Amino acid sequence: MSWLNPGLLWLAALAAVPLILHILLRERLTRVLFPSLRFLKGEGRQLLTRRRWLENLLLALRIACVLLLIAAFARPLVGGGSGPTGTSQHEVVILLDVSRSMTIGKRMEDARREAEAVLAKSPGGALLAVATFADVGSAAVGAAKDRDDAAAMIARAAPTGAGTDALAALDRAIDSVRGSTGEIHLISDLQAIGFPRTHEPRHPPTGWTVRVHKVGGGDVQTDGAVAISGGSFPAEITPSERNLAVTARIANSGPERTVDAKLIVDGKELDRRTVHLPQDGEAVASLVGTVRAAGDHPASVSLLAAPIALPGDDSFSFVARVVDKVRVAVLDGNPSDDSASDSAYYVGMALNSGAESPYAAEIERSLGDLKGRDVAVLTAVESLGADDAKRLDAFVRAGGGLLIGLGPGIDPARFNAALGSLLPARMRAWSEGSHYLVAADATHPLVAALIGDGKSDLGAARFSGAADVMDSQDAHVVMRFDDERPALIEARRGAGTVLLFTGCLDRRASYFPLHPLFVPFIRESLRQLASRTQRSRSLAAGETVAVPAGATVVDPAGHERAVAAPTAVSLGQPGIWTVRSAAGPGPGDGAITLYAVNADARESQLAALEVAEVEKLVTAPTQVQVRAVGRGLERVLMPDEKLAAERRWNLGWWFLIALAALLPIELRLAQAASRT
Amino acid sequence: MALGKGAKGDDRTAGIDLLDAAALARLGNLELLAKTVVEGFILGLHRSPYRGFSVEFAEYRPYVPGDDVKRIDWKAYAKTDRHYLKLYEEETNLACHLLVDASASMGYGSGKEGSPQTRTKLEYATRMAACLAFFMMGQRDAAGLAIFDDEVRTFLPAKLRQSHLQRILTELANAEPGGETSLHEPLHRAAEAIRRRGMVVLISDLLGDLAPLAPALQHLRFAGHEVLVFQVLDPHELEFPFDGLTEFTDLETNERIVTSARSARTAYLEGFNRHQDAVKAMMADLGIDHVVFDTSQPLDLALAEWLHRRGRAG
Repeated sequence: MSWLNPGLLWLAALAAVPLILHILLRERLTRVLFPSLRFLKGEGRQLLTRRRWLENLLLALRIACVLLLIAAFARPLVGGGSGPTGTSQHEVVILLDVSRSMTIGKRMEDARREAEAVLAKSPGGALLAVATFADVGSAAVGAAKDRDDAAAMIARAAPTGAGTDALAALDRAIDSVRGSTGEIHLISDLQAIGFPRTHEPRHPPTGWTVRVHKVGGGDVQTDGAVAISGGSFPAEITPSERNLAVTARIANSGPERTVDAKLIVDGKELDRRTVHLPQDGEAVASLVGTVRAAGDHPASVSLLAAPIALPGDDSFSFVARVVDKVRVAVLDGNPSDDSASDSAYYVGMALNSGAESPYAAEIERSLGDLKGRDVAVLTAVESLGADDAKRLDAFVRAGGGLLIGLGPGIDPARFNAALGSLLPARMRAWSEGSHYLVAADATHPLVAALIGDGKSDLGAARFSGAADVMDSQDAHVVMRFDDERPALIEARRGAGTVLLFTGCLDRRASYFPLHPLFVPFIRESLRQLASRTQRSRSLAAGETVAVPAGATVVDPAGHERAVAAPTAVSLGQPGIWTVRSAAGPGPGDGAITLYAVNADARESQLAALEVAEVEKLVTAPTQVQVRAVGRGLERVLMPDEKLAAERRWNLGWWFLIALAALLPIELRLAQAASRT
Repeated sequence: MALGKGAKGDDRTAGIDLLDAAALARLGNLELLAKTVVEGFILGLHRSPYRGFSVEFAEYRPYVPGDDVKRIDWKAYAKTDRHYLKLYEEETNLACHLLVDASASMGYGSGKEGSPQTRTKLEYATRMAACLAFFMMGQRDAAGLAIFDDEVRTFLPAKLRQSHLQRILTELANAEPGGETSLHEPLHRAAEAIRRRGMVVLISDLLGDLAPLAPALQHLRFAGHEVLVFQVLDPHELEFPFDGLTEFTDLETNERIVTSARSARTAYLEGFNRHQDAVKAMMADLGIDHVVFDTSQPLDLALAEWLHRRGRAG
């Protein structure tokens, strides 16, 4: 047993206090000459014996109470912080890195070979376990039945498109150990990103060692590589011209250069742009295409002839989903026969104009049933009835989009009270003044769609007034006015999105509705709101999806796999995965679902650690001390391990419970002793 | 007047030392009423069963209130103008034997130095015997003494001489607590040794075995003696006021018991009271006057109270 607060054990000397008090306050023996003891014989002796017994018991009890109290606060713990859970056998755990970086050269092959060597050297009769790992959550230590089983598990190990988190895998391995002694072999290319500084490494339990094997050192040149580090695309688009707007972030770790990026949908190139990349910087490629056919379309952004470090770094996959028109309910907060004063007039015009408009907007005087609507727009609405507010809240949180436009004359208190927690930011006051718009987040799809390639000039639209809003912690400012005040604020509310435009969407405070920017602003805003109402089918490599029984899973390389029972399938390879449900009469039967899987962009950072660095990290001698205890050696646990061990047993609490149980006994004994 | 053997700065004789002048003065105003009508105890009050027995003039003594006026010698009154009683040598008064228990248990006393309480029960008993002997002699009653523990250590037969009184007082002053209490043997001896019927006053703590005591007392009664039993007890024996962890040592046997006095008190008092009840029952059966004296009570008051009680009963 060891202690979390061993310093408190000095207080055990306090156990002497009851002993001293017992000695000091003990009744002294009085000697009396008495005429005859004939009346004292018998009971007196029994009582004396009982009293002595009670006093000694009381003393022991009081000492025990003091010791229990001190022990409880010293927080005892038994055994190691992460001690072996079962057998006393020796165990060998092999951790194989299968992250995307292991696809480079012969890294995977070397790793398998190293694992087989470890297996061959493992002592006979040892427990064997093999685990493959990539990023967080991907490691699962599998106990091998025998040496052949372990060899088969090693042979099956294949690289995935996932990232690397070796420390998480090591934690899992430590948690899963079964033997009293053993060794954990970490076989990896030791990518530095796999050992994040924010992750405090756990240390193996007593009797266990961690051995590190590095593969693939110096087999790749990382300097000068280009990689797509991320991107954005609409989850849903409506059939219209140039309806698919995509951005891709391209990271450059080399000199200034240009690369060509192309948008491919259904295997056809729809757009191509040349992107200028600054030295060791990042640039955004905006690509636009037209996809009219309703349904899911496999799509990707690829770089042409770019120097890449890792296979897959030059590609970004997504699923372009084309859906019917966006159904919009526009609530007119300031209805008027004068179109210039009617707050909803220009919004309705912007959405419904044109025969091929992807929007179907209806202007309403009151918030009706939002069923079947994709987006709601509130124009200069100051307040809502309780039922309307509740309905609107439910609509947004269920996945609906909401655009709110303000205007002069709105009472902030009533407005804030009406919309409550839906608001991305609470309105403070309306203020007059000349303003124009500037982009706050150029990478936001809405901004990118508006100003990409110099299509629009945000600053051309002038406003004579706008609302001041209070700071908000959970909202994202997409646009600002030139005086830095937020102009367009976005916030997620449940499954839906809310956009708050602090300017006016009618002509009472600006000529914005008459500006060329107005229509694309409204349409792109609603496109974003409508697009985000659906769950994204863009996944990171290694993520899993639920696949129903009888479905067929097709990986990006075209390999099919039939699934007999409902299961979770890990989508390890980047690209488009197809899940075909079994044909049948029911709804959804025979449906085809596409999943776009993209590799962890961080995996492109191939800088690696050395074996010594990793060994130092996981078994740092400054952190792991060994001291002589009795005839053997006991590892001094780290504070976090101690804490875990202490919490596992909760001995301190048990001691306090025992103390609480002893106190009434002590009281009863003390009363009995005083009566004797 | 300080009493007790070895009193500081005391150069008087041991016998005189035993007499409490104040006690005697108070007791001098009391009348000792004998229980029986046959033998008087105090001169002037008792009626002798041996009336008409040959008498021989012995001496005059001054009249004291309470004396029968018929016994005043009017001739002497005519000559001296004072009242005198004429005493006769053969005017039989009581022969009283004082049996004083000097066993080791009588050496117990809780009285502190300087307190009115005597230090030991034996002191109380010897003073009581001295007082009684003095009065016996003062009223022309013969007084005898037996001091015993488990055997008779001193025996002085009853005589009516001043020198005898001095001898009695000397023996009492020299009495020391001795061996174990064994009352029956000395009482049997006394019953055999006392030829003349009279009064036997047993002064003891009666802490011995009661079973053999009854036949011994019966023996005395059978010999025609009126038996008075004065049981002398210390207040600690009556109340057992001890507390805490205590080692008790038996004065007679040296046996030791360590016990919690507080918890043992109940048991002690139960046993002690049972013993006292047995003593009272035995005395009642034998027709013996039994009086318990608490050594914390002043001796004179205790005797006076008893005499009053006896007087009312008589």
